[in-house]
Amino acid sequence: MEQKKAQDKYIKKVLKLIRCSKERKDSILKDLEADIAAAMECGESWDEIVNRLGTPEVLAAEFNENIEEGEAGKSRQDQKILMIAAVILILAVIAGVVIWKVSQSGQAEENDGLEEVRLEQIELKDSQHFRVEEVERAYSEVVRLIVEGEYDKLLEEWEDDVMRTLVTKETIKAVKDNVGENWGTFQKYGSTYSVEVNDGESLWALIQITEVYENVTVTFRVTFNEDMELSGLYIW
Amino acid sequence: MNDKYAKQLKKGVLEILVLKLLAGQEKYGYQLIHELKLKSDDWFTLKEGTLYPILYRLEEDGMIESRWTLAKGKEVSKKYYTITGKGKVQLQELLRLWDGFSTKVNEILKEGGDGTEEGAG
Repeated sequence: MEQKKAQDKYIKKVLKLIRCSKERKDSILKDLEADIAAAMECGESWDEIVNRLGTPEVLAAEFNENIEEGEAGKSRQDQKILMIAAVILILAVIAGVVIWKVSQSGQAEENDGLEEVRLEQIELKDSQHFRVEEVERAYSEVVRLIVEGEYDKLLEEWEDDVMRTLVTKETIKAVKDNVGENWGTFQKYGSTYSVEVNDGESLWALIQITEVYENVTVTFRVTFNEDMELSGLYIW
Repeated sequence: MNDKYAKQLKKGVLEILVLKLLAGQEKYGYQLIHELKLKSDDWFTLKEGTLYPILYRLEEDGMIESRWTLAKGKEVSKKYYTITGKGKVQLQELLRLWDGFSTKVNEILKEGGDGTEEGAG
């Protein structure tokens, strides 16, 4: 079984070093396993096989040399997809925390055991608590900090430490770069949506605006708590 | 000798050799490596890192097909490759090309003076 462990470790290392699509890696994994098993069937020992194949680095380099350019490009695509997935995941975590916090405060009142979050929304202009101009001004400031890359200042706006540990400069930068590396200059505003969200205990102002830049069109959804501290940020 | 040049020279004929080896009967990866080494008196000691990409390309181009066998008793599961009709046509074309090509390359290479004499003289 020791040999099987060594074999798995060897193949894993080779796959890690090969630059190609995930699908291709899956076939290489299956094919290598089958070939090693076939070689053993023919009487080769594990040491002899490794001797013949070379170190994982050597074998991977040989693969990389022979895999077509297009295939190698897919590896970069995969990495990009992975990064996007990571960003989505981080955003989902943030959304989860917000929903959890909302449901916690909601359950304290109702405690009906349902996880359903009961939120009431009214148009922001009808809000008794928030002023549209103030929310728009705060929104503009958040967007300005993002566009100008002042992530440190942006993080200071965040309502509490929980969020600050979840959202890092790197996350925001990754999300921003994911939209586009060079946005260009601001052109115009697209659709706008702003509401007051009420869960029976707390109030939030939610504003969502699509902005058109020279090279990208990006939508921001920014949420503020009652004290106008930043409590949610989505960019896509 | 710089290994890079030798490798490069051999690389060009690998597809035709693989197609030829598969023309007789279906074979699995390790078998191809083994057979090529044996038949070429160790001139072609192909490794997986070179063979697999060739097999993948040939399969993608529809020149060969593969199938997995089920593990039976002590026999492990294997991936067998077979040449397709399209692959057979391609092989014939490559063989024709090889005939003309190798003849001409040999003619040029056998022309007087192989470099060593000039260096010595």
